[in-house]
Amino acid sequence: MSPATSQAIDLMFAEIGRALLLIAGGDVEVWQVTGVSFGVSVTAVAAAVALGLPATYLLAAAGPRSTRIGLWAAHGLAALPTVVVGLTLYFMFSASGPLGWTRLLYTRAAMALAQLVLALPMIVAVVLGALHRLPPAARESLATHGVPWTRQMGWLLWEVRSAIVTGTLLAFARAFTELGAALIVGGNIRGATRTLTTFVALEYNRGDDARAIAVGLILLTVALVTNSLMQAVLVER
Amino acid sequence: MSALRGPVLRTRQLAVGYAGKAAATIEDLDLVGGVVWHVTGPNGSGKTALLKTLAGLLQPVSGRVERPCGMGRGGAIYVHSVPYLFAGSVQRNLDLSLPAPEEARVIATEFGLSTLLEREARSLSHGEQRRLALARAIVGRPSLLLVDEPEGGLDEDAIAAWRACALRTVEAGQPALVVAAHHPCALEDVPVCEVRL
Repeated sequence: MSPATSQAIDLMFAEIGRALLLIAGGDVEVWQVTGVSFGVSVTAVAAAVALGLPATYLLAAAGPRSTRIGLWAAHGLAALPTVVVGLTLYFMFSASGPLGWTRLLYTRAAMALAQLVLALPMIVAVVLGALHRLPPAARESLATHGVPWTRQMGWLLWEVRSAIVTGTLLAFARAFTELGAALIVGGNIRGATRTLTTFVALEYNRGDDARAIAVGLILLTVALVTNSLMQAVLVER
Repeated sequence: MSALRGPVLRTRQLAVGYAGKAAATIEDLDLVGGVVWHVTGPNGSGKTALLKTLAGLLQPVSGRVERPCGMGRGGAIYVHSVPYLFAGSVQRNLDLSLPAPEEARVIATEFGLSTLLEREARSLSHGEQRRLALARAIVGRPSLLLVDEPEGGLDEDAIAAWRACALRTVEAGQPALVVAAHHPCALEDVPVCEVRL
């Protein structure tokens, strides 16, 4: 190993050590930014679940054609680049845009809205696929027993509950770790719209590697926990 | 037989099938309570399509079905040949059509399910699942009960319970019972009207 490589590795471990000290020492800004990230992403995903489940059920109930169209649209939108979502919302919420009067640009609400746009297709794609795979006898059994459609929704969504959990965790992972939309519509304002991902980008640009690594470790932990929960749900299934 | 009662379902010039293609044309039927109808025919002759059309789950290919009783509790209930049981307990499945608790208990006892009420429905044996599907339909007090191949996988006790149900239908004058089956041994002692496809 060359002396330069050895020095770089030593530096990296030193920065990771400093990062762990920052986390353990309760660096105020790191934990405040973590709180904003969780607040915005949980709000966005809760809204995506509340809107997505009834919409998904209605798509599935409308028949196989609407299910196929819904699956096609949801899979397409799930791959939307985050910067495209951010730019679109930026133009809509900017002062001269059609929604400029709402004065939402550079607020957490705008960031939650952007993350909602990213999260919703993930939930619809996963849950609609699961509803589509249920045998026709499930829906027919409810219909023939005279179960009204509002109760049918509850019964069928309960049948695909593990898909709902998986879709929700996927949506949360997408919302929590995205950078482009949060940066564009949030503006990375300290104490207001600064999230973990925008904080990493800022600290990296400023050259404060320890803080960037500290926040990166928190993001990594959340991603690993989310992934583990998803695996647990799939194994239970 | 209680042929004096008004029909719970009428068919006129009915053709049944899937995706607009007729699998069978049916003689005009006037189904009345207390009568057991045995639909028979070779595989693919349209027995399931006929039962689903009578239940309101399929649209007729042509002709018409007059069903004043509607679907569900007190109306027409169809039992699949491979029943779908919902996640959760036997009791949860019996409660699908919101019966009175006492009513559900009595039917569960008749079908030998009273000791299984807390069991996960999908963990039951094949025969127990068939019994549960029949019991679940009967607690809905249908005026028209349509049962597709009811005896596959049933043991002697369950067939006896099913026979008792059919006999009670005849004695009580309700519901109208339509059974699609090749050789239903439970109906040997029960007077039936045959519909051959």
